[in-house]
Amino acid sequence: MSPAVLAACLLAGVGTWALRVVPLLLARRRAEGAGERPGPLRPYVDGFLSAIAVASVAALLVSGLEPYLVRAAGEVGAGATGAALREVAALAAGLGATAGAYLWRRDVALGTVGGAAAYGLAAWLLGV
Amino acid sequence: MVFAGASQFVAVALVAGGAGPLVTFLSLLAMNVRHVFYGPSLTGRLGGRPVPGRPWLWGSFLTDEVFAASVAAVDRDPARVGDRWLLGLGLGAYLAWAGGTFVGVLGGSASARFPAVDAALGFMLTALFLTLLLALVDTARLGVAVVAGVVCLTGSLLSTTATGIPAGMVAGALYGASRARPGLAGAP
Repeated sequence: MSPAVLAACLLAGVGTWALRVVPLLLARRRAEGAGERPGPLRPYVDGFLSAIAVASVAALLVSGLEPYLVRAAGEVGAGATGAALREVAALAAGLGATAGAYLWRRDVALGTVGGAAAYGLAAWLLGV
Repeated sequence: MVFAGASQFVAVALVAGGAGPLVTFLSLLAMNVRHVFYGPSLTGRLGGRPVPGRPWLWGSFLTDEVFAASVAAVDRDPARVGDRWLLGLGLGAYLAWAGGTFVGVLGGSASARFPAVDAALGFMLTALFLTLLLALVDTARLGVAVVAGVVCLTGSLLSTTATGIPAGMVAGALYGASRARPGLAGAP
């Protein structure tokens, strides 16, 4: 890697830090002035920020599912319906096990590891 | 240097493809622009509690996963989430990420010899995001998740996931903002 590209990565690291920390510091300053009269847009800004957590996790989940769905759709397009069904079955097993393991104990780690193990096993057994 | 998983993949692809420093810098930064919302969103969920100390330090670890896990913890028990808790979570995630990268460099494609393990590792992030969504979502926020998911999928299919993810996030949050009513702080 050239020194210039290395410097670009270093600057991107500093930029990423600023992208995370500067808005956080501004939000803290705003929170400290909580007694001030809120502007008319404040409820909508609060609504946006309140929803961004669910929105980002939902978007990240879909982006994780997309390759599996695209692969299954490609197999259907190529006439390999059996392979697509096995792909979908393994995915359903993984998602079902993830949800089941999480809801059983309300434990994020258990849901993640249990779901991943179930998907790995199903994919191996089904030859995905 | 840049604690962000997606950026790592982009950086490898750019460097391997011979991209210049300016393109590399701008691409990596663009990948992480969505993180500007994470700090304000997290502090907004504290319900009037003071923002934990040293935000310049624990805030630097606010990746997608750390943010989602922090929000889920704040929703469960805000009193538990102080600066040490946030720092511990972020540092743990960073060490796991750096350690995993190191093992990956040493081990190469060793997991490919074990198809079940390889498939399980590939599914791990998807399973993590599903559990975090289950921890965060309720009836009032279901619409936000659906809008974000549909827009993300559409954006990813029409362009790339680098476009689909921020588009889905912003669309879902805008839907949430549109449901807000003056006087109902934090709706939906």
